[in-house]
Amino acid sequence: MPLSYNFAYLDEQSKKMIRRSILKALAIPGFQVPFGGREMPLPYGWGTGGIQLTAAVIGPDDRLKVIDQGSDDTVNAISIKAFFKKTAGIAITEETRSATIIQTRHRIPETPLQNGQIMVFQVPIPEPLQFIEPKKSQTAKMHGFEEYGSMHVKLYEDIAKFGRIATAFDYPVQVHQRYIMSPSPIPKYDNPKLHRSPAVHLFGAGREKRIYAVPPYTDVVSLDFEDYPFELEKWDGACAVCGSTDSFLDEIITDDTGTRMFICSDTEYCQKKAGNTFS
Amino acid sequence: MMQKGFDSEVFDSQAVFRSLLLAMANPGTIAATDINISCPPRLQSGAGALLLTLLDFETVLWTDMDTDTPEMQWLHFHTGTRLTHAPNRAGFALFTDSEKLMDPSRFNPGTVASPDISTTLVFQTRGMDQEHHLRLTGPGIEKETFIHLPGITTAFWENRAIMNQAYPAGIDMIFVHARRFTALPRTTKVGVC
Repeated sequence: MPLSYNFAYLDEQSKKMIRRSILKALAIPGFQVPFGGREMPLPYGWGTGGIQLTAAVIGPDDRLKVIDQGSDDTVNAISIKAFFKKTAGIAITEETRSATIIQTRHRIPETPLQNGQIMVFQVPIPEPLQFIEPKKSQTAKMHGFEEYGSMHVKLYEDIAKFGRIATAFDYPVQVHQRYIMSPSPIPKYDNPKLHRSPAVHLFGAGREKRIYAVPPYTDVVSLDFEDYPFELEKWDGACAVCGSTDSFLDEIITDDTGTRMFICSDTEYCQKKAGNTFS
Repeated sequence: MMQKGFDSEVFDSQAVFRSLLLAMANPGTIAATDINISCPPRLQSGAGALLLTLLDFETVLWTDMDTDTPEMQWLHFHTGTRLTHAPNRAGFALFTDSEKLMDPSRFNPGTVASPDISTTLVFQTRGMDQEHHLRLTGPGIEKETFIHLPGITTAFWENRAIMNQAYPAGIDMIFVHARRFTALPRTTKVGVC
């Protein structure tokens, strides 16, 4: 391990400050705790919030998995793994089951998580009310007094315009019957995985400097209406690689005449199902 | 002579925080730290380790001890934390003597818009086991869990319940005995069996 960085890059005082915020976030599920977000050696939008959380939590015995849209091998995941290998000498895994910390850009793995595992979400826009009320001073009050009616109006406008709730990702949820929370831009397909999950879910927004959390076994309910209940995406076909019909599928255009195929977004799940083994 | 703190500030504080994170995420489970630190006599080693992990120059600590005791000098030397005599200004509060427990509502529960600015209480207790004495439910608990914290009175739990009705404002608590600890965030409902 190079000696030019402190373990996991951040200095110890920054880690302390982030750690205190994580504890408050766990104590108030879904509440966005402001924190003194630090400058990271990569631009906002590349996961600076998630990286700060991982840096504050990770230790030498951890096995870190990083995914970018479900894939272990795309640029953001590779870069973040390289970052923690360099600054913390950390063990990397692609296997969901054996990972102790999973940092994610917008998917929750298909393999069910276990108690003791920590999910770290990279969050671009932590405030679910931002598109209704741009002023932070106002949204803080709306959360404080649980004034969430306008959130339902936004979903209703979808129904009026499109005949259904058209929000497909970053679909708002209510946590522990109290706070409305952005689950980060995960597809709404992943929302039910948060509900009473045995794992710890930590959310970090670097640019907006907010940390929030969902503890294990906590109610996480997607907003909906009695006559327009929350529904999951469905696909007609199966994954072209592993044949899965019970995972989130990405549509891939394969030529310039519009031929397309569907494959699993979660590459580790897909490879396992296809019978490939991992080191 | 000042006693030393962690052997390794980086790795010891990480290990302690990680157990604390899982304790706060799973209220009522008993976590333990195998970090061995030699604190001044009236601090239990778990409490010393937790406070070295959490405190720094940004924090404000209230305690039931006098500020000129070796314990407080040790904490101040290793963390730089500020001290206060006003419970409602404290970010952290340390009770070393459960005989002197106060109504938790004297501390800062935060505000409805900023419930995170509340006090976190750290209690040293006389023991801790999972006997059916207190029944816990809430986020982080699959169905229910039980804990026994000798020396903490029923009246204290009643005061806590009244105070936490102001949720999301409220007080989070960490109970320590020797190297073991358990956390009760404000969301945990406590029933006396």
